Amino acid sequence: MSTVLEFFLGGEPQRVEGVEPTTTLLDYLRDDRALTGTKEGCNEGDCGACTVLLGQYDPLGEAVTYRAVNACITLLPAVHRFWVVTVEDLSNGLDSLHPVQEAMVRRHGSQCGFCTPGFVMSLAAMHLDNAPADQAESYIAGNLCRCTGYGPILEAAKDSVAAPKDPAFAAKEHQAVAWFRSLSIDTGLFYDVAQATYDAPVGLKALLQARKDNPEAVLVAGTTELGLWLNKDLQDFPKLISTTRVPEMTAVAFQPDGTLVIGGGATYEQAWPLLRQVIPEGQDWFERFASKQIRQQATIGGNIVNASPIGDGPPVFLALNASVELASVSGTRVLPLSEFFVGYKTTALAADEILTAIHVPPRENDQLFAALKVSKRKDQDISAVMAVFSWRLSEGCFRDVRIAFGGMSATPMLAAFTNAVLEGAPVTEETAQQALASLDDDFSPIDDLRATAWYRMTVSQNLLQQALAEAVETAAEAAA
Amino acid sequence: MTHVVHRPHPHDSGPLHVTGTAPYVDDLPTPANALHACFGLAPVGHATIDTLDLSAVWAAPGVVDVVTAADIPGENNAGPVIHDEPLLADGTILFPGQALFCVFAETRLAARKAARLFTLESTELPALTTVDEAVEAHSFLHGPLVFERGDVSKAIEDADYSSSSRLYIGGQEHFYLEGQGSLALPSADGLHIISSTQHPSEIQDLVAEALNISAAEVTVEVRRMGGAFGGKETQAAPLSIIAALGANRTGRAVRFRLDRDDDFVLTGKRHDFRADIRVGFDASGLIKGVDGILASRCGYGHDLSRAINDRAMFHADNAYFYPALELTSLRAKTHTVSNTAFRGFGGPQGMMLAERLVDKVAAAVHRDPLDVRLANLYNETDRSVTPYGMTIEDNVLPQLMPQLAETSDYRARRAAIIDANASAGRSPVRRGIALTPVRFGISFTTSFLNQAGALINIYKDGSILLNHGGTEMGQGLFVKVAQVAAEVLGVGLDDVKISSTRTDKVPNTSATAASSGSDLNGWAAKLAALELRNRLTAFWCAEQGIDGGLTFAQGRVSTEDGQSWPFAEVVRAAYMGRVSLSATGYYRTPKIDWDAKTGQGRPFLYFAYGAAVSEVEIDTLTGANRVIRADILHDVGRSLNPDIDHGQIEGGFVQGMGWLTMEELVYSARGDVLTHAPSTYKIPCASDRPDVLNIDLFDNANAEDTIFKSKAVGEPPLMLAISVHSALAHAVSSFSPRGRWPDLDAPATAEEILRTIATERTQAL
Ligand SMILES: Cc1cc2nc3c(=O)[nH]c(=O)nc-3n(C[C@@H](O)[C@@H](O)[C@H](O)COP(=O)(O)OP(=O)(O)OC[C@H]3O[C@@H](n4cnc5c(N)ncnc54)[C@H](O)[C@@H]3O)c2cc1C
Ligand code: FES
Ligand code: FES
Repeated sequence: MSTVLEFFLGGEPQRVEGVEPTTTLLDYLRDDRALTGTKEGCNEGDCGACTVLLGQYDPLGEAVTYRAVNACITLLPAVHRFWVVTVEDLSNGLDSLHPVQEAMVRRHGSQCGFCTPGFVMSLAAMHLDNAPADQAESYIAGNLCRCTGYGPILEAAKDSVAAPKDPAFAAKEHQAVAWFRSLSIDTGLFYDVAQATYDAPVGLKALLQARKDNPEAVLVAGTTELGLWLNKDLQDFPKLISTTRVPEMTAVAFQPDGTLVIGGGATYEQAWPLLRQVIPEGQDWFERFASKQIRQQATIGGNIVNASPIGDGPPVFLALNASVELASVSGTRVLPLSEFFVGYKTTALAADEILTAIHVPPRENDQLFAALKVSKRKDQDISAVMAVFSWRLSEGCFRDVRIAFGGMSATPMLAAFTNAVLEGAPVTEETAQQALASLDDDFSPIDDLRATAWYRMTVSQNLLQQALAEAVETAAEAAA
Repeated sequence: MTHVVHRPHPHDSGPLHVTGTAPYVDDLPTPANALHACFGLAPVGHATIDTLDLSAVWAAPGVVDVVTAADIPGENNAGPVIHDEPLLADGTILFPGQALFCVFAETRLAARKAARLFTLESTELPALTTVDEAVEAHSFLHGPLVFERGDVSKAIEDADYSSSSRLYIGGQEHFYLEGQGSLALPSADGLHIISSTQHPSEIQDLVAEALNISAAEVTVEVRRMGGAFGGKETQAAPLSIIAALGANRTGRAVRFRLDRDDDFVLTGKRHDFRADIRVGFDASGLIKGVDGILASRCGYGHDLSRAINDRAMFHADNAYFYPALELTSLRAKTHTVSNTAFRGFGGPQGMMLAERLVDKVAAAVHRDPLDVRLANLYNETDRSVTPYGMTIEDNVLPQLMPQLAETSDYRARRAAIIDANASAGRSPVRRGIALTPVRFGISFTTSFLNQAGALINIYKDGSILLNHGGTEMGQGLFVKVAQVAAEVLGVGLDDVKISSTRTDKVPNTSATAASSGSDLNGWAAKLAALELRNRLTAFWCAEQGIDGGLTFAQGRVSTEDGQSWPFAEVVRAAYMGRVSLSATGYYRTPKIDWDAKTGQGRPFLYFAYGAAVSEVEIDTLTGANRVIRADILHDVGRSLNPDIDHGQIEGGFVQGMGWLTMEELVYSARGDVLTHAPSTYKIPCASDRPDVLNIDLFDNANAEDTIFKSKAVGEPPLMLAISVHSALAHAVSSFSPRGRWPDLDAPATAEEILRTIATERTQAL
């Protein structure tokens, strides 16, 4: 087990001791290392000015993969054994710009320039991923610019995806690879500074034991929630236990019976390739979940345990009839997700338990699925309402109806009354009307800064009405 | 022929921006013992302070000093015009989140943590938060401004038709990507303050007043800002004053940077307005009279509210002639943060009134709103005098608008949209389109501000150092002014070295604001460069025995008959010949005079014009909306730098779109800004940009003698986005009864659109 943070930065291996574990990567770069190219625009994951890349070596493919993350909500110990790529690494001085940087200058992609290093890093990630040009909006959805109106940046994105690999950057990658290869096998991290600890074991057993032995410790995964408690509420976290180094926790795989098992520590981006096979209709939901930076950090497990009434994940998994696997040193239990949420931001998770997996049962061939997010802004916004519809139409009747909503009550919730009205009822206009009326029995939403109760209810009814009308039409067509 | 101006040049800091090597205030290396400051913010709204116990703050780890109002040696003020904005609360809390005290600590985190450890006992006082409440209670900062012409009641009564409506127009948070920041460095010679500010001279004055020292002992410097948009014109001052105070007390450097959430709470925003309009018009849609009240939420203090509301009045006609009018401007005083300058400075809100009014009229007379707009435009004969008595001499809208209608295929697209909406059936999608103009007055309406200075030094090797009073916030001012200097001195742009704005180089400057940066500083630099060129010419002609003039171009100095020398050679000779190679330039805008007492005069040197066509789509299930296409034709005169201007137009348009669609400021009943972070306050992101955005410059030399015949470009394009709001209302109007235009407020969020559709549906019953 390592007690020292090791990472690669600025072309050199780093060994860090004595920097507090709750130091964010951004503060470390700017304050401790005077690497001020990376900017702070919000300190909460929303503006992308602090975007850096984390490079990871895949020994099988012998390649480095990169993900863009928000340094402001990434804890320094989380970069243990990563290559931290900052804007300072992209060029070799002003005369030898990276193709992305060159395109940004040529296209007038910067005005005040404060957002620019963040955009450059997101575009560099796109370039390194060899992503097609039409994904530019998705790559920069987590970056805000107040000056340019984005046109020049999108142009620069187009130019730079067409550009060949940068030899200067390839040389740096080469150095990083040599460092990656020099690392001994990962035996976990136990990082301890001035009575503050960050414990990141590599085995599930060790993780569960640590959870049991340290009831006062806070569990962390992607820290996209915790980062805000730290930066904005200024909470102290003397003891942290991280799930991120446990391979079982990040695994995503289908079981032989078709159940998709998503590790409790898998990020949205890690889970999506297989989850998409279950719900291809969820593409829009997925892309509108936060930003690429956040999706590469945020875990589905964290999203569920957080139990926010406005989380986008829970309603989807409720509608999919998912269960959660909760483990402790004394054993494992599997609970239907609908029983996991017990009240406003409270769950059935016991103090010594960790959410180790989400089980998504196989989907029926004729199961309709729709996940509709309603928010003020299309990208990188929190839902006012998240409406998820799932049912089958069989012999003129609704079957297996699982309608779930976020934003409509104190917890993410199945629409119990509405589901009951629809279950087994004939697919008719009258049924639809009854179902719509019953939404009022299921929910009494609240007014807040995102939306009024009136809006939440009206939108929910409108979306359900549209979906039911389509069902009635389909049924009528099938009957004819 | 020009060589350097009227050509595209990239932003001078582009390569620095993309490599992260362009330093902003918080990136500067500071002495190792620098302190960090943090305000303690009032957790209540309007209230009297009974006791404020700071003992736990003092006792917190790392705390070196704590200051309250009583510790300010001079004036406890950050108010720019009227001194009514206390730096630190004194006895009374005027708005939620007001700064109560400031902590100086060894680290930023220590300061932030300590700043939350106070105990406040207070007695809540009644609070007015909204425009409605304040107007009802007659709570105003100062008396109203009224524009009157003719007998408006009679004009409206005699008109064939009339229409009344009320429009709420929301405020806007600047969300400059770089938050407010300042660094104060003490030295034996005085204080050196580096601030992210549009107005270094004002900070110099306020620091001197607060510390009871002379302005000469304070130097304020700014190299660049990470965006400002008006939000750093006055709002940067408190940080600098407090940092200076801390530096003075401790003898240590002080770094002060606001956390984003504090920035939202503490700093002013664009004023939100309520517009009440009554308009009389004839069957063709010709406006006969307009009777209106424009009321705005100014917040607790004056700040720039007087001038901002004046400008709302100057633009409440936008491009249209009102034969009779009575327009009243009310400046509501509320117990909320003091609102401030924001790109357009009240103009956009005034224009919203005008554009809503013509849309109402057009709907009532069943005409294409474009025809009603064209019919009501100012002309150069009998309809050319504004309500404030200025004659419009440079109107290009009668040519510009039809040209844009043509190139954007507006009429055919509108017809297709109306058809598609009518036959939409069960489809939840509706579309809308609108073409709206902009006529924006250029000059500070506070006339004395229209002055600027520049300093140019030529060194013995022929290199040139340029300095002027304007500040760079991303708008490309520095490159434009450098182009001017390079053009006049006949050198390449790269030969002119740009340097930071400093009050010890060019004194007594005005804020870089009102779109005037290149107009004023460009001229000042031109005058300085001309002075140097004249000195060099006189010297060299005498030296070489040349009759007639010299031309300076492309790095060479040439005679008419083809003799020529390198610029650097002439410079060195001039030095040896004891010619001064340093010159200042000073410019003041001619022709303007405006009398606020009579409400008459010529507040502007000229107008900038433009128009935009926006096509939008709304989802009537959720109210979600987007701009499918926008076409812009904008008048920047003879552009100094077409690429930079293009960027200003696009950025301004998208920022305006955000203001009018998704950017919603939500306040609590006692006036807290609830949307105090980018997680809850949404500015446009990349996918919100129109799918198609065509931008063209309208070919038109400025009629006035502006710098190389260019026009100001900073603010006007923001108002092109009013076309988006009008197009959204058009889409919603597909649910309205014939003859009715929906009362869609701004911002037209998804919720606002859905609510308005619901209203229109009931109207249709
Ligand atoms: C800018 C931004 C945008 C966002 N946008 C969205 C959005 O569009 N939709 C949305 O739904 N959410 C959004 N979120 C929130 C979302 O990122 C989180 O809910 C995320 O999924 C939490 O996962 P994490 O791994 O980051 O959790 P962490 O912050 O690491 O932990 C959060 C909590 O979960 C607990 N926890 C984590 N993993 C486990 C586990 N395996 N077992 C038990 N407890 C655990 C932790 O103890 C902690 O209390 C956004 C967040 C940010 C910062
Ligand atoms: S600083 Fe805004 S996302 Fe990190
Ligand atoms: S260039 Fe200023 S925020 Fe993007």
